[in-house]
Amino acid sequence: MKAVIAVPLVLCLIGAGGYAQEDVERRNLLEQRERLAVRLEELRREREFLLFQKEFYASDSKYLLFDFSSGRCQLKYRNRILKDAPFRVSPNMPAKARSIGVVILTRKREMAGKKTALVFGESFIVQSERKEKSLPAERRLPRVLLSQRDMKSMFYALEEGAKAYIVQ
Amino acid sequence: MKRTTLAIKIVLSALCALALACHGDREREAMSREIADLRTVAARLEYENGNMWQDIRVRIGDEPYIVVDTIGNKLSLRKGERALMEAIVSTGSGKLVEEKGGRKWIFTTPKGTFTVLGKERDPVWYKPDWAYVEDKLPIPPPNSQARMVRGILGKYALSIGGSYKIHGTPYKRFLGQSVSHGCIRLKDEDMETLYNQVALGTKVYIY
Repeated sequence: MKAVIAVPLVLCLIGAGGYAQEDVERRNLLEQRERLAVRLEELRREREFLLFQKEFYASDSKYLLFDFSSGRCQLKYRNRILKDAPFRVSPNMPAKARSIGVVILTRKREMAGKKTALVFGESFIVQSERKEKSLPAERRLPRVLLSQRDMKSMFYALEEGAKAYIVQ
Repeated sequence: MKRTTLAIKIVLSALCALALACHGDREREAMSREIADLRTVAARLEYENGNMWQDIRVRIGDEPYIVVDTIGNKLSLRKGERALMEAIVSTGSGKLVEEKGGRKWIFTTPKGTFTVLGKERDPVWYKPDWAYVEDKLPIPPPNSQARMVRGILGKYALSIGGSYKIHGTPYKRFLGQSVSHGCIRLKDEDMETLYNQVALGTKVYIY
């Protein structure tokens, strides 16, 4: 009878020791899987950006790159930098508008007094830092603000339908 | 009786522990397989992205290129991500000159991609017909020595085709303004730097 009790008891004790080790292993595996998932996401984004750049090897369109983390944007043509300019954003710029990827220049707007704006759909609007009145429909859109000179150069360099890529 | 019940309970819990251990093994195995798969995908993406970066680098090349912003009247010499030099320039005024006979000229700087086709020291300006029309002067014959003007293009010039040049200028006070007849004017010091840094075949992007 004693043996009948002793054997399972030993098994239980061995099992308990094993559990602790398994737990550590399991946690390690989970951490590894998480790290790999993050790395994969980075690589997929990098690939998306590379494919975007590849598209412009032969394209005759100029395009923009926005880096929200550094507050700089670049006007590019065939992967060459035509202009590199700093910008700031309006306080109502939500994180959603900064999601990495492609945005399209849906409208170039020129109003009296040389007031210009580049409208990127519902994402954001690019304007000069000078205080300008907005159209009612655009009032709620977040703004990317450039110096007047940079804005002017970018405005005339880009055509409606041009693409922009948000890097970060 | 009590002893037997206790023994049965202990045996059952040991079996449960074994079953759980087996289940844990299977879970770990599955996770390990998943991690191995993720590693394979990551390695493939790293390899492919690396190739694409390399391809982009090769296509862009490491040669310097000139960029002219006709709206901002700025020129920059760039190499990859770096700006090697930046200068204020004068580009085309956009003005129209008309001859009585009907010829018209609009003084704009052409936009697009060009190539440095020639490099000149002490360039001579071959005064074209429009210059005489603009000054309301009689037009001399095509090969007349009267058309040769020295000094007006500064000390250095780069030809980019179609009689357009990037050149120096004595009209420094107009730099930053759109006042030229289509050429890109720089102050002589900037022009010298540019001249010394670019080779024939350098790409010029004007926008």
